[in-house]
Amino acid sequence: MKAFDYVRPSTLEEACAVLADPAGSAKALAGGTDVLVQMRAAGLRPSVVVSLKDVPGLNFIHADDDGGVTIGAVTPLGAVEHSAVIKERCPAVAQAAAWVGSVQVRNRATIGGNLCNAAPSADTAPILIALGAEAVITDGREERVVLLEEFFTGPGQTVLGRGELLRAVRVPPAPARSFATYLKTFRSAMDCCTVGVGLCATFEEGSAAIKDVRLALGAVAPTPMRARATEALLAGRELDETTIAAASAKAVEEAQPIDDIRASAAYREVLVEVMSRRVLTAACAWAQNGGRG
Amino acid sequence: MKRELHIRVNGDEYHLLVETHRTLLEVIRDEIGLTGTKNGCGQGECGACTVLLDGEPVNSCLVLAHEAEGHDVLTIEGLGSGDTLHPVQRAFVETGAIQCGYCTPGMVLTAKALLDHNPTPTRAEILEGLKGNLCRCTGYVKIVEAVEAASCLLEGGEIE
Ligand SMILES: Cc1cc2nc3c(=O)[nH]c(=O)nc-3n(C[C@H](O)[C@H](O)[C@H](O)COP(=O)(O)OP(=O)(O)OC[C@H]3O[C@@H](n4cnc5c(N)ncnc54)[C@H](O)[C@@H]3O)c2cc1C
Ligand code: FES
Ligand code: FES
Repeated sequence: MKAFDYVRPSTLEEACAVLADPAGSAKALAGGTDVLVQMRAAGLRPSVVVSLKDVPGLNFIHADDDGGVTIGAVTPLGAVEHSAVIKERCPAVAQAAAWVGSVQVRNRATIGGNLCNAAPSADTAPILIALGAEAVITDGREERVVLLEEFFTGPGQTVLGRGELLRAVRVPPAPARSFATYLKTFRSAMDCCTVGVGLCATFEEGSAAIKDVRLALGAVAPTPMRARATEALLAGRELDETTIAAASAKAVEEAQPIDDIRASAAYREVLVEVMSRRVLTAACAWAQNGGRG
Repeated sequence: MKRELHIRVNGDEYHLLVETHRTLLEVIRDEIGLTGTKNGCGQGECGACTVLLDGEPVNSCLVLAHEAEGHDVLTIEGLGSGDTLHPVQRAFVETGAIQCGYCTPGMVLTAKALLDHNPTPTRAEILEGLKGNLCRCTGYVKIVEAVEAASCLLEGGEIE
């Protein structure tokens, strides 16, 4: 690795101030599982690395009064995976976290790093988007909140400006009669998703009719994306085999996968179809079962 | 840029002057001289560099040394005591779960942490827990058996 300056600020203000300095190319460091790999293998050469390790108030999981959960950006994915609050209130987020890399990776990798690295294949993104999560962004003085689905602007690109940090991710309370799940396919045990599908479906009382639905896809576009046309097709419809088939075909139409090292575009299209069908079928079974299992 | 680093490795305090871009792996091997921790891929994929940081397994190739400031590191050298092997080490030896041995320090430490959290894991849990540790020699069967044997030893039993 090339040499760099290293600072370990003890306040958010200080961290943001270093990151804001227009003279240098400062890089925030959370768990480092992306940053170190990029510095070693992908030509990332920051002048200053800004460690978030000693910045207070970034590593927490908070059960919000409204039934939602707020997760500090520098919370390790291992903590997300095992959190009793998350497993109770948004278990699909715990599941997505558990699918990232290995135990060793999850002990370091943070939820904020996963999102700010902005890989189209980031495993926590689709489910958080499907759940309507928000990104709480700070410049060290003031905060702004953006919907996570608007957070990503391109591969490796986010709405974060120079000197801004992600402080937390807020997952709103799950609506009544809602089913959420994340499904991922991968080549090897340790890989990012070749395709990831996050779903949150809310059903009418006592039926399999969809009241509200969000479907988010990972690794099939420059950013994690909401499949809005598919959602529109599903809205208000009874979930049955025909609807599920039509929706899965629509999701393929919407996805814009590319060929890359993990899979071809054509294969990804097949995966989008199959996985959309699977998550919707699971949702349908759940609704027909009276919202259980 | 060099900077002071205070870490505890295997119970010993170290006060070092270390360049800020060095990894924990480099400091453990090159500065402290403990070469039981191995360098495999340098990218978090193989687990050969696994150490326990405050008791939890991490890839030391992906941790900047200065990020471990003030923390506790356990390497394979610190696991047994003197000539006495830790039960996980003993189980690996007696089960024949070691061939070339390159993956072994990482495997043993990851297995130790797994058993700390889950004293009687199923085979599926063992495989999941060791997902980040690659072995090019054994085919993993003996390694899974070794973790089962270690679990048995730690629970007060003997290796059959
Ligand atoms: C072996 C291996 C396997 C992996 N498997 C997976 C996988 O299965 N799925 C998956 O999604 N990912 C995977 N990853 C990628 C990586 O582990 C995750 O993306 C991880 O969550 C990144 O978090 P981090 O804390 O390590 O980020 P870092 O490397 O510290 O940072 C990543 C990026 O985010 C920025 N950043 C970090 N925190 C903040 C913040 N609070 N505010 C603003 N910017 C910030 C950094 O500047 C950097 O650009 C894997 C990585 C490895 C090495
Ligand atoms: S050397 Fe660290 S994981 Fe391979
Ligand atoms: S024993 Fe040789 S790599 Fe595992």
